[in-house]
Amino acid sequence: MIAEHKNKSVINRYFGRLSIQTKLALIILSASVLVLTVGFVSIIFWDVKSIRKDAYKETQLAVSILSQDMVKLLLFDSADIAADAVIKLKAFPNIENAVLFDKKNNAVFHYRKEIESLYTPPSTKSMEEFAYHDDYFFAFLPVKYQNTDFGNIFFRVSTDSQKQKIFGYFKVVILMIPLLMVLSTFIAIKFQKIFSAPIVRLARVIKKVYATHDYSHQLEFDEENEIGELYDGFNLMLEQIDFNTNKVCVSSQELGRSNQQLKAVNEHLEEQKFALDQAAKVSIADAKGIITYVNDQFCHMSKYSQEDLIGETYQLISSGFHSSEFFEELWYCISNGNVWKGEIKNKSKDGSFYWVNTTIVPFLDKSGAPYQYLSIHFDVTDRKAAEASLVEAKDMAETAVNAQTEFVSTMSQELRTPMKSLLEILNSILREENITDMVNERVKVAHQSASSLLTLFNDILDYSRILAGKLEFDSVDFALRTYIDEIISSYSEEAEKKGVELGAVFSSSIPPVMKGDPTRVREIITTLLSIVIGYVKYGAVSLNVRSNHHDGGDEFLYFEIKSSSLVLSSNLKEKILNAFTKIDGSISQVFSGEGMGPALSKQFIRMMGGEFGLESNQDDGTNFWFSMRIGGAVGRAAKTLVIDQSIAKDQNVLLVSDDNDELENFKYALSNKKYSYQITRSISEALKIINAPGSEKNKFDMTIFSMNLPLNVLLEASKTIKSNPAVSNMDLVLLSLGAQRGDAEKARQAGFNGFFTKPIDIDYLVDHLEVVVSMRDNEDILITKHVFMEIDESHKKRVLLFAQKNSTTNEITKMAKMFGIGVDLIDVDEQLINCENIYSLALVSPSRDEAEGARAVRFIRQFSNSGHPLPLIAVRGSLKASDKEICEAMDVDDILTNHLSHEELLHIFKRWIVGFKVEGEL
Amino acid sequence: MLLPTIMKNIKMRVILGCNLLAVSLFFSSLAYAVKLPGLLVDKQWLATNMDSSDLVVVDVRPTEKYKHSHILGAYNISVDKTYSSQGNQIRSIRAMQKLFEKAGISNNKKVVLYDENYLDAARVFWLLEVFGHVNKIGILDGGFPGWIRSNLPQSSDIYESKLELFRPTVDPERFATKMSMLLALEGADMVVVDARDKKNFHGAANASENGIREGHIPGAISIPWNENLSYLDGVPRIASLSELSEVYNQVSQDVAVFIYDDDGKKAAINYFALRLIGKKAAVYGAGWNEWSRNISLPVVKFGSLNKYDDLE
Repeated sequence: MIAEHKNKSVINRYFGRLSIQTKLALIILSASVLVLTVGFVSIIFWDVKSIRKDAYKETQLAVSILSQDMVKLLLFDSADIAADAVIKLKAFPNIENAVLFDKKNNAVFHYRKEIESLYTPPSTKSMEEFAYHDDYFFAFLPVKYQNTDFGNIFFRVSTDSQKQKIFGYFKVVILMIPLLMVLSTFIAIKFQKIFSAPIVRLARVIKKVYATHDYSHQLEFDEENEIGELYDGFNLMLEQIDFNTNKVCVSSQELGRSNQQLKAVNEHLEEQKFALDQAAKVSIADAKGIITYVNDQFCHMSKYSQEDLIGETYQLISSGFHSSEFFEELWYCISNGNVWKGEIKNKSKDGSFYWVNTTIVPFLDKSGAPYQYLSIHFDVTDRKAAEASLVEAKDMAETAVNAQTEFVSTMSQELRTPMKSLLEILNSILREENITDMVNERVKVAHQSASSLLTLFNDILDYSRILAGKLEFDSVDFALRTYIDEIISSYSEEAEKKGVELGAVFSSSIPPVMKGDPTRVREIITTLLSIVIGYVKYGAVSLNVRSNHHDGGDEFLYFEIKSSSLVLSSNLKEKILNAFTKIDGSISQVFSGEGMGPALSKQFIRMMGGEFGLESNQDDGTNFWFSMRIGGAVGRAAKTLVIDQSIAKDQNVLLVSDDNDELENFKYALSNKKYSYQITRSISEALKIINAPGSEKNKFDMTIFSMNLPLNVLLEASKTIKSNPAVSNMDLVLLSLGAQRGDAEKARQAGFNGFFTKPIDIDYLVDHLEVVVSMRDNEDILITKHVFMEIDESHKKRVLLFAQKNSTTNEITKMAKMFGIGVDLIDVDEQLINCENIYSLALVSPSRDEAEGARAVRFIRQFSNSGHPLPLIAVRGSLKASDKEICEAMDVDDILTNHLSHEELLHIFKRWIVGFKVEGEL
Repeated sequence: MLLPTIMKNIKMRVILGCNLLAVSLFFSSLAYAVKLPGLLVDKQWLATNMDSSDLVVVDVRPTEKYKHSHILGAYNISVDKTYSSQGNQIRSIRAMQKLFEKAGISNNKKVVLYDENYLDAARVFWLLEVFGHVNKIGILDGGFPGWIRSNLPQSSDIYESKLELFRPTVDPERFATKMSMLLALEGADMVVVDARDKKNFHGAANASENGIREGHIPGAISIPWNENLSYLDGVPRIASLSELSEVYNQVSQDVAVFIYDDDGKKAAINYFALRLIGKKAAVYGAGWNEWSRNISLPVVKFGSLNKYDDLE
């Protein structure tokens, strides 16, 4: 290791000190010499190898040429023959000697290239075919003629000629090497410049730059290699240095200039200070807030003298008006070096207050910390006073606006209550039997007017909510189908009057129970339907409901109100659509035309994630459609509501109401249902009664609140009751007047089991109270009117009508409804049966041919109907054969003729539906 | 047992080493001591160096003459034995090898040849050179008659070596065949020398043997063998160098020389003469005997310049 190190240092000493030029030259030189030497040596080596080859070839050739002469010589031993053979042998200049042996290996003839040079051949015994001794090639070959062996011939072949050739090479090499050395030295010296020249150039430039300090110098180059990169790097470095130097230069110039300016500025500053002093109140405080300077104006304003202020803090003039946080923020701001601007109320020496608009400028030292604060104050006392009066005015204005809004809301609430009472009274009058037709008519008109007024009030309320962005949606369970039926039946009278057929088709894939806001849905349908019915003159209107697809738990419902006979002109279409879109806050517009219904509907649809559209053309008639997203099956079908009649008996009800009429109705209804009850007229009394530790006898199972009180009061009452463990399992039912969206949910959370919106038929409510009772343990479910309807619907007997929708099916549906029987129309083509329902009867009405009827029968026979027997009735156009035959032929149980009558249908129902009874027929 | 004890003693080791060195130096001095003075060796030099183990003296006269008397220590190669049974062609390589080996010639021995008329010696000289023994041969100037006259040691003992090994080769630059002659005739820088007598060259002599045509190889020049010799007192001597230069002035320095004759001896004397004046030549061993018999080969008479005249 040490030796190596020494070697290295020696090399370094001699080689390392050489210039790059010399090094490069040496490297190129040595490399070329090495290459040359290796080249020459390999050529010579190759030649040496070829000597033997040549000699071998020569002997072979000689033998082949001379064999005949040799044979002759051996045979005849004649000098003549020998002479001729020797002449031939002379043609091989490399053959020095040849000895011809006879078969007994006696040397018969000797050939000597140089006659005088004697040569003794080696003994034949030791002879090899080919050998190489002392620069001679020996060959010992047989002499043959026509495969007969006559003897052998020995050749001694000189390799001198080849050697001379090689020697010639050597001479060339020895001559060439110095020549090539000179040449490669020349090339090396020339070529090293290619590498070293750029470096030398760079070195020269660096020296020059160093000497002249001219950093703007840039090397020009067009190499795109490492040298190029080196130059580029050097250029960049120079550029940077140049740039920095320039900057330094400019800075120092600027420094000089700014020093001059500083002087000027200082002078200027004095002037400005004077000006500032004249204009504003100026004070300066140090870092700790101690005042170090005040100008005369400041003193004048604060009524303190300079002596009073200097050395004090601003605490002296603090008015105490601002909070401590205000000053903390101020300090935080300026102590971080920021300028603070604001208005401060100060107190002068004589105790009067004044407002100043203050700008505090912190002066920062090098570290960025403020060392003094300059405060400039402007007196804004007068402006402040003006502002204060303005704020007062504004507050008054706002109060007025709020009051107005409140007023509208309260007014509509207030108006609704009497309007509802009025409607109820009018209803009761209409129920009276012994009134004259004239009175009846007038009361009807009054009822209608009142109804539309009430609607209008509701709309106004909704509309104001939409404007305020407070519109909420209920999320209650309801049976959509019930609603649709109800809507259809409510319009059927009007439709009948116009001679228009009205029907609903309800896709069986729609789950029976939905979660959503049924009232809103109803409003939308009603609005759209009334428009269509309003315009349609004849023909039919059908309401189709489809479920488009499921999206998670949600159903995407698609409603169509179709009339093939109605064609709307484009103007009219536009007018209708305008009514939907014109909700721009202008109430006056909304009140014109169709009222607020369309505008609200559109909002509702939008808020339920749906769309709507109106299509009308000559071919297809009119299609007024909308879609909405609505909560799907909520894990509870209507059927699960099992009403336990036995539990519902002997219920003790506490009735809390402030409405005398209502109380009368309740009394009648409750006693009819054989409920025991107690009545109280105020909440506090009710709570007293409930919470009173009484005997078992006084314990109430249910409390019905029907108070015209704010919801909060009632919710509080509910919470109070529920917090009492002794009575916490009591059912609480709330009859709300003018309930708003979301109230139901609030009521549920507060502990109410039932929630109903007035007006409500008291008889109907009491009839269904058992539902509330039986659902007592299920806290998640709030019993509403919709639940009642749902249960009613589920209690209905259902009939499966397997037919294509036509007038006959409409008629059947209508009549069945009169008998309290629900009809599920199954389209012949769709063949989808809602398996959740259990049917009491199946009607098959093949409209086309027998085969279709047979197919339908087969299909229904396969339908399990949850194991219940399903009687099959065929609806037939005419009776050609006897009933029995047809029954057998079609595999049906009974036949219904196409010419339907109430009696016939009733007969069929009575016969085949178990437990069928017609209302009032008991 | 003795050697290891000697090897243990350093003194003994040094002495042994010195002795070995001395012996080896002596032998090596012997081996390289003899250097022939030239292609012609005078008898005095031979008399001085004849004992050298590196030197072989070869009597090329007929065996009967050798048996009678010869230079002391000389081996015999009777020139007749160098001819094959057919005509004047060289014997087989194996036979020639044996012949040389028996004469005590191995590849690095120096050889001095002698006869009585130079012709035989020249032939053996040429043959030895053809078989690869180049620049190691001399011919005794004056031959055996000169030796006798100087009364130098003689012997009648018959020497025959069985030890030596001669590795034969054939030098086509010195030994021409029918093939190489034909090739030579097509070449430009060459000269063909007819070593026979002028009358033979011109086809004037009557045919002595069957099948031998008269004339010469087309384009050949005539330099008869006897022009190389001068006779002094009836004793033939190789002509002097200046005389020889005169004789061969037609043969320029750069051309290849091909010599032929009819007995393998006449051309050899020409060959030797050319060697003496520093020129190289090849002898057509089979000679006129082969050429003229082969009727497919061209022959001209009367020194016709056109080598194909005869054919037309």
